[in-house]
Amino acid sequence: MKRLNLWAAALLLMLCTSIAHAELTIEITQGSDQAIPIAIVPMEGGDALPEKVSRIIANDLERSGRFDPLPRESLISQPSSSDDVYYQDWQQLGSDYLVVGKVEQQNDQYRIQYELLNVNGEDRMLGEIVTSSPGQLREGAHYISNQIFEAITGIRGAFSTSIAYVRANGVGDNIKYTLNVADADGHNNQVILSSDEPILSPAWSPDGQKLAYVSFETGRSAIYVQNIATGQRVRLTSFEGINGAPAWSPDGRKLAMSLSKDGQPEIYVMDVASRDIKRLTHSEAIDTEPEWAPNGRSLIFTSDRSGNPQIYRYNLSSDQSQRITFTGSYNSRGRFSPDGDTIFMVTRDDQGFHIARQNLETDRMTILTDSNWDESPSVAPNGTMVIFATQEGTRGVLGLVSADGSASFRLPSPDGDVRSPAWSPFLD
Amino acid sequence: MQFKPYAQGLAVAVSLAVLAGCSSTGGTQDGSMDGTSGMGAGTGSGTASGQGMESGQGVSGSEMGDRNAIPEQRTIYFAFDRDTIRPEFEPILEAHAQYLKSHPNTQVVLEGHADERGTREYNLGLGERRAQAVEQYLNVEGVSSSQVEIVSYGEERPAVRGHNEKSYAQNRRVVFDY
Amino acid sequence: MAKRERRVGYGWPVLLAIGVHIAVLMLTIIKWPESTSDPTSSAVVQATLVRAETATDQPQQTEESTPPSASQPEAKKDASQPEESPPPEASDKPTADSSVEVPDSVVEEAQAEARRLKEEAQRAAQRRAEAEQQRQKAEAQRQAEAERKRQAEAEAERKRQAEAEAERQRQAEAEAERKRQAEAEAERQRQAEAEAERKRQAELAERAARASNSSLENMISDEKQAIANAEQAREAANGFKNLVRRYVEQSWNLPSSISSDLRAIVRIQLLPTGELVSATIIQSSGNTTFDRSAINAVEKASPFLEMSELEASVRDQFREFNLDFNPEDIR
Repeated sequence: MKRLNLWAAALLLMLCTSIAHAELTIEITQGSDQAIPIAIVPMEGGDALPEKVSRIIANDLERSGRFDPLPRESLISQPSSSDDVYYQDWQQLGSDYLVVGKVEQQNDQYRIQYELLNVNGEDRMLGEIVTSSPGQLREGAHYISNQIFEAITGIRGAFSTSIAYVRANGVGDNIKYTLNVADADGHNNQVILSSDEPILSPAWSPDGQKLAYVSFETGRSAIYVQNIATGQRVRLTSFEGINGAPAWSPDGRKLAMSLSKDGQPEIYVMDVASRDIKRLTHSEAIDTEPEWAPNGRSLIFTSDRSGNPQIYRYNLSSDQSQRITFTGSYNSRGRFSPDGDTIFMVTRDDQGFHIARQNLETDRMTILTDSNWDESPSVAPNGTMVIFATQEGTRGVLGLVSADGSASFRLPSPDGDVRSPAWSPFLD
Repeated sequence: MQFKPYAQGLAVAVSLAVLAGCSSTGGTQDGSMDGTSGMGAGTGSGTASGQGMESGQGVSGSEMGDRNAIPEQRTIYFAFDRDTIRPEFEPILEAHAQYLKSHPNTQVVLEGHADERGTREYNLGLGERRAQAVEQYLNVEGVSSSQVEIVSYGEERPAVRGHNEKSYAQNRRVVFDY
Repeated sequence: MAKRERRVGYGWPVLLAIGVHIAVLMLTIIKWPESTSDPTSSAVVQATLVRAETATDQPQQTEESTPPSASQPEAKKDASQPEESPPPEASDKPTADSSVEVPDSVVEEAQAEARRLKEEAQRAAQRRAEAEQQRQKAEAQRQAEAERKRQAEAEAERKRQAEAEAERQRQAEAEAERKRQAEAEAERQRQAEAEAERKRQAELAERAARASNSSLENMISDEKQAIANAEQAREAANGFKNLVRRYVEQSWNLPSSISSDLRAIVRIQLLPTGELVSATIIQSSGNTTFDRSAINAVEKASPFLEMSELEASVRDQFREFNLDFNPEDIR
């Protein structure tokens, strides 16, 4: 009995104290999605390098639209390791994160040591040593950008990816067309095809090693697949009429395409190995621009069977098509986000053609760009950014917009018209 | 708030104007409806045969008379978003038809083009449609399909660069490439 | 104007005024007998006219030589006699050269009589003139006397009134002075309080200067105002609650790509100064990035310096509490 009383008393006491110390909860229902302020201190010893590592990292993070690197002039001190960091200074600057590091040359290699620090929490989040040869310095910097990006946002960084695009130089009948591949930040450009005839619609194979594209070099459109590293290529189709819009299946074994050999453009799927084709659509309309869903079970494509171009979804198991865009009178060139929940497309309104995003569950469409000559959207493999073609004056240039439309950039192009960008998958 | 009713009214007015323009050119319905090729051809040929007599007088004498020369006018233009043959170009098509019929071994490539608006692959389809409309016209005129090939360049080979209606009008074309 | 509650202020001047008037009256009454004993007024003017012209027609020498006689009663008598006879020789006969044959003794008698009469008349005239002079002198004296008295009275009256006036003014000034001092005192107190208030506000304003978003700054400074002026602990607690919420929201970096149906609860411990002791996830969202963003928000938002402004009882509520990170669906 005595023990029971003791327990009861203890319990009562606990209850009392917990009641007296009433649980106060404050609801936090919104935040800000402003770009995160981050200070990237120039690496100690970095001036001697042919490539400025901290500058590459700052540009990468800024171009992602999610980070706001502090300008170099405002950095009050330049520590090279967390031991030298006085967090109060960086809190005063309003920076949430700090990147410090140093570079040393070891034989013919560079040894880059970096640390990512949380300014408010006053602790170290990441620290690593990256070794790289002089020619790989940019790669090494992009790798560090990826690590920083993922550590803070939880999303895999896409700074080690590439873009393919077409450039046209000249006017009238004297245009030279080239198919190019460059780093996602525009550096290390290489020409992989040169022609007097138009080149269109480059598409990356899922393993990142091949490009499918449309070339008119034979006098009409034909679909080719070329190995980027070796330059070897095959012509997959040369049917009558249009051979266009190649799109790789997620497993890399099939290519969807648009062929008008039977009278008007229709969607077909070709088995790359066997070259067997299967026809999917049977309308009298133009059906083109196919794109596979990430799970490989459906495709979206453009069709004007309703009178104007709209986007439809083809279910591969039911062989049924269903219209999925209903906003506006012109929607085409749909591209999936990596998680399959959203599609990006070209939409037309009174002002012109813009890049838009549609949530497949809610069918809600959001226009992401306010320029009027936008087309050919291609999504980064981490779903954060969309690259597209647009106009600056009468010149074609490439643009970047974040998936939520909050940040946008122009990629400068030295000469000619740049168009038809395609974002590679993860290459690292 | 005031814009919406205006915008809608404007859109209706503009589309009516466009439709009116279309009906005046070819007497057809919206060109991009189902069965464009079939219906377009049908009406096109209907108009063509109806006006064939008159237009014959409108064409220059040399073209009509000299069936041994490839007609000089090799480009015909199209209205926005349409693939219907406009009456003013029928004489030219006539001339080409005559030429091809009298030269059964000659082949011609009909190059279809579109203006820059819209997506590239879709514009390949539009260019092709226009070239197909011309081909059907020729077929009805008696030209054999084996003589005619179609290639669409979509918006890839514009005749004129520019973001204005004038430039667009010059790019919406089919070119006879012998 | 301040109300006059003391009636004595009016009373005294009235009483004094009445007193003054009574005094004046008294003074005037006392002076009456003096004025009636003045004899000079009417009895003097009884001088008769003997010969108006002859006195003056005659050569002046003889008149001057006769001494003026003094006593007045005699003058009266003499004056009365000649008065009964009308003045002879009014008509003009200037020359004494008449051709009438008259005996010398008669002539001498007549001449002596004439001389005697003349002298008498002269004497009477002198007496009359003197009496007149006297009378006038007396009259003048009396008038001067009366005048002096009037002036003295008026003077006294003026003085009395001036004094009463001065008294009234003194009273009024003293009153006003009292009031001024009372107001100045109250003013000094008010200013002292305002000064203390300003100092408190300035300290709070310094804290607000650290916040970066200007529209939130307004909200934050509004909330600080609530804390500083709160009369009730509940108000202060609510104010601090809102403050914490605003600071944390402002510091919470929530990328739009994160799903809005994630939710995490953070338990936070603060020192009485508002500094962060610890922030821990007690209910995870299942997404480490989301969880970490909540902790980051708390770390960035702290310290909550306004905590030290709170009363101890209110402060205790916030030593340990929860933050429920539950973003609203805006897409």
